[in-house]
Amino acid sequence: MRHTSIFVLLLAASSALAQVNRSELFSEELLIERLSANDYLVHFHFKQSSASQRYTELFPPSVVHLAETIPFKSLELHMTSGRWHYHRWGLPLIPSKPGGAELSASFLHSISKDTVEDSQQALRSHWSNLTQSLSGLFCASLSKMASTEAAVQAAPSSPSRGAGLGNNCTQCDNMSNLSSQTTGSYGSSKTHNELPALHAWLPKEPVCAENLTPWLKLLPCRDQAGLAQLLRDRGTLYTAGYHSMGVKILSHFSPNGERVLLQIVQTLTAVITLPHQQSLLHHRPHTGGSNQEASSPPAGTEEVTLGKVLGTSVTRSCPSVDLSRVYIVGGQGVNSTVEEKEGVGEEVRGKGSGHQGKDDARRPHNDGDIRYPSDAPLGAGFMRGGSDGSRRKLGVTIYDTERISPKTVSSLELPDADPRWPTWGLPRCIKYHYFSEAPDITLQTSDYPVKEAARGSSRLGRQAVVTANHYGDPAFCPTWSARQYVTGSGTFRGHMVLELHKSLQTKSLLDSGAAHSSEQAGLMPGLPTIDDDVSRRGDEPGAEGVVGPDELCVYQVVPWYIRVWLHTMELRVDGKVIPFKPPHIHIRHISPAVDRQSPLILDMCLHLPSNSKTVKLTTRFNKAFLRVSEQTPDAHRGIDIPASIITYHDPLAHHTVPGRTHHTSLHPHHQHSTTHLHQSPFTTCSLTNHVKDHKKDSSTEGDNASSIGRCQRGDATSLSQLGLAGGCGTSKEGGVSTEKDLTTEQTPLLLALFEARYQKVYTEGLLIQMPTPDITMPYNVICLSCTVLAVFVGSFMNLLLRTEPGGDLLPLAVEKVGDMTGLSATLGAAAAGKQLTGDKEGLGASPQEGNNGEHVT
Amino acid sequence: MARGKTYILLWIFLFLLAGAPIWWKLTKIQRPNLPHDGMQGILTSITVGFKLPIKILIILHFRHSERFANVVLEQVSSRLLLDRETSPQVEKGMHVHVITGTNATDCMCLTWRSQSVMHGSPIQGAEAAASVRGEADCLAMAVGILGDMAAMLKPGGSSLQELSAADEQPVHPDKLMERLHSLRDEPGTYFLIVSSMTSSFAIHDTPEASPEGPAAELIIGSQRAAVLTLPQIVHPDSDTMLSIQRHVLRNALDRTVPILAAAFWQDYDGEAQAPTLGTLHPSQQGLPVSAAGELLLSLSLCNADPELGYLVWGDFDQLSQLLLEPVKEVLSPALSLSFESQVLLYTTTSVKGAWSDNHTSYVLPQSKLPRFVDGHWGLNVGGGSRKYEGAGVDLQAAVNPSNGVPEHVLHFVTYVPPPEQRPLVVLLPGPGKVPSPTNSFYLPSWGGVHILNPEVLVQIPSRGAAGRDRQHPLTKTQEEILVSSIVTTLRALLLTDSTDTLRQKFGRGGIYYFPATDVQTNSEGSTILGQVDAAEASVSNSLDGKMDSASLESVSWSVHFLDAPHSGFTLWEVDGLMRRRSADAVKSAAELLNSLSLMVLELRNLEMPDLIGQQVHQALASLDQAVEAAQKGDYANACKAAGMAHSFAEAAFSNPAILAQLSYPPSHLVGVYVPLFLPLGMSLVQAVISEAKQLRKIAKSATYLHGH
Repeated sequence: MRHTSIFVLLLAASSALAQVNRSELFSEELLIERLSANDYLVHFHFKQSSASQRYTELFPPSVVHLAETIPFKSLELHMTSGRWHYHRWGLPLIPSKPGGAELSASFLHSISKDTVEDSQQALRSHWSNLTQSLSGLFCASLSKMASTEAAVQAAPSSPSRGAGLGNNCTQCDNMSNLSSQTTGSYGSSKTHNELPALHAWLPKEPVCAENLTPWLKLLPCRDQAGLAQLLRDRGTLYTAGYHSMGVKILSHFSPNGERVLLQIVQTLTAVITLPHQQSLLHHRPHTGGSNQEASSPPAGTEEVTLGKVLGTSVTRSCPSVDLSRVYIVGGQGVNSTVEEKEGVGEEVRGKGSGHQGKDDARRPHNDGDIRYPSDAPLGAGFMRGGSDGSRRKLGVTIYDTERISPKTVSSLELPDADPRWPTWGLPRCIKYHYFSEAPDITLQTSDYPVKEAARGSSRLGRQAVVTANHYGDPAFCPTWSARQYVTGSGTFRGHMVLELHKSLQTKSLLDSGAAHSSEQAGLMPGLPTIDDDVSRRGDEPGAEGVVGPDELCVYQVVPWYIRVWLHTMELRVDGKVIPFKPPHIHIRHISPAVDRQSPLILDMCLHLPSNSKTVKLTTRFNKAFLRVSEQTPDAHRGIDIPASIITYHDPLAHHTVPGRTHHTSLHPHHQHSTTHLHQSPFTTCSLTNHVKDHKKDSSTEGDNASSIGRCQRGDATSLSQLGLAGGCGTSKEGGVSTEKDLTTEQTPLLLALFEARYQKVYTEGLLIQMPTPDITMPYNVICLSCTVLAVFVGSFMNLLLRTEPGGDLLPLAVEKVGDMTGLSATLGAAAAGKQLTGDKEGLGASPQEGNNGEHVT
Repeated sequence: MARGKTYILLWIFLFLLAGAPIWWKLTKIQRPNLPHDGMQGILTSITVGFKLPIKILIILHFRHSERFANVVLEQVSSRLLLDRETSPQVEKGMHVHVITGTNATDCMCLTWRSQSVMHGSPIQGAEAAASVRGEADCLAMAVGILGDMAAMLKPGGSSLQELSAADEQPVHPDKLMERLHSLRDEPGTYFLIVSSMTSSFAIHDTPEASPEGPAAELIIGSQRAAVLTLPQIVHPDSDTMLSIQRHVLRNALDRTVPILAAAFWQDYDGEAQAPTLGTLHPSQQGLPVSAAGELLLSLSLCNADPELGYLVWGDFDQLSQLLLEPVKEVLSPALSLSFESQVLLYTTTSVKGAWSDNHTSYVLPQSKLPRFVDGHWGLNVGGGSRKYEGAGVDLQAAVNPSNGVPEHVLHFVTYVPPPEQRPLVVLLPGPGKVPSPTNSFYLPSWGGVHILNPEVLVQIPSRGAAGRDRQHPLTKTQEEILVSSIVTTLRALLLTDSTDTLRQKFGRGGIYYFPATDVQTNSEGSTILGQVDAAEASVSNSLDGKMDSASLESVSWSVHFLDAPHSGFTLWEVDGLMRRRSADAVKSAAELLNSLSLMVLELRNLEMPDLIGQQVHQALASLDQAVEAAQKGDYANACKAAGMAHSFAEAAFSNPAILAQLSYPPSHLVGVYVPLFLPLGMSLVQAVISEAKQLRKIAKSATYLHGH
């Protein structure tokens, strides 16, 4: 039914496209968030769609070739360097990725080849061709994924699958990160079968500029115009602490198997750390007053702008773009909205170019020959952050870069750092240490020094007092964090350890708000949530507290040459050993490793008490013996093991998930109570429903819709149907509108933000030292074996050629003399026996030999 | 002791008996048995003798004089068949059939084979001669000689007179040739109609288009036929006029037959022509196609500065269907052509045009052209237009080796300069510095660049205009000019030097520039592409349709090349392309097989999978098929088999199993065997020394005994 509805939608989109004669669409969006005093998250999101069957214009033909030659349904490639530091940067707005390359793809298969062998062969063949093609397309070593050792079929799935914990939307829980909203229209009908998706990781794959260049060439304007110009400073980009480049290609098919739409989504996420001095320069003391005071720059200080963070600027807009947006978490628009609501005044203070007053903002800007209506933000709104997009409410300032001067984009001012934020290495999120045994941690004042809080949490038995305000924002921090390491030495004494730590802030908030959550859960009929499951499972053994047990799912892929002894797995919760069996463990999938064929795939869920703080999972392993040809080129560095993937439902999700008319925002910019009417997108399973809900809201709200905004273009319907439109955004030209919920927006970036439905945390990749080959060993073996053989042959020769000393010489000599022997000669010889003996001694004969000669005589 | 030695010898024997097979098995090199003789011999046997034959059907059509016809036959045959400088390939397999109708009711058919031409007079070497009456029967006999095509003659007879529609109603030569091809249309078979009826054929709408009157005229059609019209004489039966006629004929044939030969069979040898104008012509670099004969034409519309507006393809599907598909179809016997399109923005180049007051535009001299295309433009390199079958692709590699070989990519860039550089024109080489009529140039083996200076892009977008509003689709005229340039680029890159030179001789443009192209629209409204190269050389004297002795030394003659509408390639050009591609493929396959054999013989320790052996055998079999098809004159199968042979040879030679082999020098063996043989050698040397000492002792003892 879902497929049918979406296909109808696509048909409508096609007809709409035919009307506007536009078969290709392109959008570019940028999201910026200040993560800490020094760190900035920039997330670029480019999306292109093409309904053309054969020939394209601005849509990259290489992608069309790929879709024509390989019958893939969807593919997603991420190349990441660095690691997302959860405790410094909090829960990522955009799901982070593990280091290295990660590739997922699903394929279609003709129904004519319906045997399992054919399906498997087709799957492997498709996968091999795809990895080879992508390897050439992005100048990466993705062809290493082509082997069966690298690719696995079992994908990490949502924590609710098969575990009894879940919502009513399990069909949406495709953990392949391929959106059900955008891929739900695949032709899974009569003519094609869907082959299982394959996943592969290359944890060692480096990411550098040679990968970015072909990535940029897929954009219509490359990095010559538009927001992609901000990527021109490669130095800034590749010195970032975290850098992830992604490509997602989706093919939409009609029921008869023809491709009707091709989409490519390119994302680039980076966390850029500004130098410390600059950060201190921009540090503005917090006086505890209004936001106006907090945001006013001291005289002589320099503002942090988008261009300065990325080290470059935008000089011109891409002419082929259909939607161009910049979202700044916080920023001018949000402050203005708050000020309006708080009655600060109508005038927005001017702060440089990015802080023009409203009158100035509405004034058209002339940049060369092109006139731009305004340099002011398009509006402001709030959206749900967090990797599950549900619990964190963020004020966002929106800029329509088509309507502002391109040069203004790079001068957009980024939000100020909160003075309470820790600086330089100190985390904003505090976790339970593994060795701290149930510290009595309470949330108290709002002015507790961060350093003390961090230090206190890491000391054994020390009571830590942290604040729930701002730097300790529970919504900012992940509920669980994970780390992974190996211990032991040698080939046979290895231990693989996975540690999970609960966020201190999260647990404190849960403890304090458990009753409230329980009450809320009961008031949401028809919307099963984890709270319902929690309440259902409250009676189960091990369930403690009001909130209910936690469910953590662990997905791990281990290459075959690391032989994990699964029977040695040990689970410790808060330092206590828990039996490794149900109900604490739910094994969802185990695929044992086969040497040189397939890796170990372990997918299991841990059911933990709700007040559990630390989890430690340990298992033993030993290392296989690798052939010389199986060694990596840099064998002494070690072999990388893919990161573990930890997934769980966020227990804080429903602290802010609306559905009711009133809730309290946890965002620091929104400490005041606000009222919002909207439908949570996370309860819908498809874009269709979402669109319907949105339309319904718009129609029923009447005048309220006007406050949300009106469509800016006549073809916004077709754009939205293709997932490219900005929906009906705030259209107060040059002004700042009232706050709105961005979850009703349908821009590609916002849709992508709302796709994930549960939290996913990656561990570090493991690096395991393997026995390395000695390249001189073959020669050593040759020398040793040849020596042995020489000794052997020498002994044989000695045995064969050794003669009896002395005794044998005389008969030979006599034989040589021949018939001349006679008695006289014999006698003569006997008479000369002594003389003969003397000759033998002269020739080196031993005395014993002489005796023998005498004996002969 | 003897028993112990026996045991030792027995153990050694058993050791060798058991160890030798093990050693043999462990040190055996896995490699298939390759037919080295065939692989090396084929380079000299097949490639030299591999020729796709040419059959020429000469129809002499003269109504008035049998003697005149005989003179014409003598001259034509001597010029066509015996002049080895003009057609040196005649002796290699050309078949010539002459059908001569001396008058309206009489005709005779003669057939030559090349061997006869070499050793004797053509008349004596005629294999068949017959004389029948009636023009329709003459045609029927001609067709009958060439095969069993007589049945294709329509009931009622298709007489030459009917085809030519008599003197009073001149017809377009192509229409006549279409009728002839309806009788027999095969690659490599060409009709040459020699006639004295100058007014019978006309390439113009009116017969008065040639004011000089009837003269020697050669019309080379767009299909596989040509018409040679000779001057008409006043008294054809007198001896004086016959001698005059012979002289005039020789004069006319001297000028026209080389052109005809160059058009129809100059590329028969498939050998590279001499460089022209000091540059390397594309024909000397081999055809720009893959081993499987695939060619991808990547069309890029590059907008240097799209700020104020940029060009896009209007509807490339329609453009492809209307304008590019005919080109693809006409070239399909020789190669597989495919297209792709893209629009690129911000394609700036470091080459800037200099303002010229003379041309009132920015000009690009030839010296700047090689650096015009910038590597940052992001031109697509193809590589994926071929669909593969999915499962089992590895198994199919042995059957169809082209699966893993990408097609050759030719780029055609339409460059829209920035507003501050418009108009930008390309200058032709030479002292005149004349702008290129097509404003384009090509780069051998890479493609071509066409510079488009649109007027529409100077519009400033309105306030707040969306980016898409700045795009302007190509107009119909721009598309037609563009496709015309594409066709001309293909002609320059694919056709042989002789054909290209022939066109250039009568056309315009230099070696790196397109000849002038015209786009005409016929009465049906469809687009006619290609060139109308009608150049008249040395029109010295108009004979007004009659000839006398005073005009012996100056004969008016002209050459007309008829164009192929819609496709740009005439059939005889495609035939030449097939001959060239077949010869190239066979030669390349033979060279690859020869190289592979030499390498395998040279590297004794090179392991190879059995797949290489299969591919080698398949390549040899395909070569045999190509030779067999060539002997039959089957162009299509010969071209296909030659391409398959090339593909298999390429796949075998570039097999990754060979490339991935570790290569080490023979001196490496020293490091392996010295530790083995040195200790063994020491034991042996020690034993030999011991034995020598022993023997010397025995000798001394014997001497002593003997002395005593």
